[in-house]
Amino acid sequence: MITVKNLIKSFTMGEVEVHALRGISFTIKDGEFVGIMGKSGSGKSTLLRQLGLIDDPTSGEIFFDDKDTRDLSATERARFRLTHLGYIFQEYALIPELTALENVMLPAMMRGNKKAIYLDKAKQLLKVVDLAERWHHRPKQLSGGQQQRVAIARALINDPKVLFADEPTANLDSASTKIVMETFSRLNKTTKQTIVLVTHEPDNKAYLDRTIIMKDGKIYGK
Amino acid sequence: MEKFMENKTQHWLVGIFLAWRSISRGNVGTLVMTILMLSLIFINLIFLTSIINGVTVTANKQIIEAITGEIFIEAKTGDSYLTKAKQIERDLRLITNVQHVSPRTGISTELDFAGKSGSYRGMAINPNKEAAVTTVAQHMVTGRWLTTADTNAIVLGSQIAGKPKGELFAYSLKGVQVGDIITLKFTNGFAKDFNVVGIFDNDFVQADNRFFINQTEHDTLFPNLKDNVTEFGMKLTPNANLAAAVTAINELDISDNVRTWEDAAGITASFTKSFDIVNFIVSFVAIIVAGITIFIVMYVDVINRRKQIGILRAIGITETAIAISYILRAIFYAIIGIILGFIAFKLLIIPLFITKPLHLPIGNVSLSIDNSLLYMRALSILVVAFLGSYIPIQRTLRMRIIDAIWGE
Repeated sequence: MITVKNLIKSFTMGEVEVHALRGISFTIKDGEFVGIMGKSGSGKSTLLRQLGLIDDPTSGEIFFDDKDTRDLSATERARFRLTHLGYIFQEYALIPELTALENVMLPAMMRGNKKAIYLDKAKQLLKVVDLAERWHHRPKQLSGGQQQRVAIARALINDPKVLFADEPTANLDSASTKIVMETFSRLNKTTKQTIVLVTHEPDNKAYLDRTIIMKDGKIYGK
Repeated sequence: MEKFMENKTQHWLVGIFLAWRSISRGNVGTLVMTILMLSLIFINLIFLTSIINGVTVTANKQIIEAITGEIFIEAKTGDSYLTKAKQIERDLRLITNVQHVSPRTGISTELDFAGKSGSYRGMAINPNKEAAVTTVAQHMVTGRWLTTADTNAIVLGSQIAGKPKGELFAYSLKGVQVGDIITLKFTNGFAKDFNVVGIFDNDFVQADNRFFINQTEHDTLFPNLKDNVTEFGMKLTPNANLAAAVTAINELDISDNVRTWEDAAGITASFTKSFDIVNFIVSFVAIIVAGITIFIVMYVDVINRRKQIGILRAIGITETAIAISYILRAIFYAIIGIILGFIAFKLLIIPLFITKPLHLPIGNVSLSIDNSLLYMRALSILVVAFLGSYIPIQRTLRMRIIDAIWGE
């Protein structure tokens, strides 16, 4: 379970102080597929980055079960991201010199798993995202939708407690969007994978268990 | 968490994996250009050093082989001659590692030929003994070297005879040929005609501005100087210890003027020493330029991959593994660059200079570099490659992840 208490994030842009998150509190239960929605500039991506531990909040608390993330050092945060969290970026963010299989297995390699185990698991995950035949292709040889599904497989390789996805379908056409969202939905339903997804596309609501609506750095509705 | 912290090999495995994939699957043009640049930097680092070393090596070789031998002994300070020359020669030959000894008597004369004249310095020598100590006898361009049976015979250096386009042509006898008769006018007023039997050319002005006559001829002309010489030139066995031989000679108490070829180098030593300073400055500047160039290339590369570095960190790849991948890549480029530069230097540039050496007044100069210096230059490239990649990657890794991925 993710527990967020009074999360505040402020930063300076030029000479202007921006209050991106203005005291947000909520919980996400294990196995939920939660969407964070809102207009551009509402703070939804900023919130996801705090939850994904790739940015530090100005104040407030984020708990994963009983683990207070404020207690983690920089190295421990990196380790926590590797072992407990999966993160999917809007722009796929694959390593261009690596094949689909290598991109997927990289976090498991970093974790120190045995090669035979992580290779087998990476192949299984590519099968889960319907890219079993494309494992040897490099990102430039894959479509946007296929690259995003490789990114999903990569995010899943270390059995994350929570999968974060930051507008994963923003750059995709409707057909690819449907495939990616169905992949998330299937994962959530079959493996009870907790997924937190930022999206501004209303059509995606159909796949979600519930939605957190944000406006001006605050939760506007649930 | 604890298990991860202990397992440092994962940093290296992931770092090596990322580095190798980046090298083997990255942009081929960038790879080739980077390696080519490093090869040229390496060649640039060793080229001038090799020329300067070549000048020094040639100058030293010429001094030893064409003029002095490895050790030479002059008369005691205040004396003009070493007396009892035969006995001294016998004593010298008994010293360990002394291979050959050549007694020489210096002569200053005026040489006249076909209305042209000039003052030159020559040597009265035993032709066989001199040929064993120096290589002048092997550098006859016309005619032949002296024999012990020669009388009224003289061999001239090309700078005296008049070497076309020679450095001292204006001061030469301008066109003496083998068979010509030239007149030697000694300082005591005595004059005698000599038959030119040979002209030698060592490609070394200092050596080719001399003439040689037979010692027996000199003894006939100056009987009061018989068994007197002005110096002894000596050749040691290969790899003999020069200082030990000098010490042994000094123990004979022949003269206080026992000198090595280095003492005789004179002007040559002066300019090679000056070249050493130039060499140091040029090498230092070249290494700094190499460091800055590598830094710029690596910095641009890291900046272009800043977003990718941020993503790697975001998915849990450690900063150590990322740094290792970039540093290893730079070291790999440097090693390949050094190897290719070395191969190009050995197989292309050195043969080119052997075929077409630099013609300098000290002789034909080709490239020369010690292995130790070569290793030092290679090491300096590796060090600057390390620093050139370490500094930019560390700067990028210090950035916040969100700035690396989404920052301007």
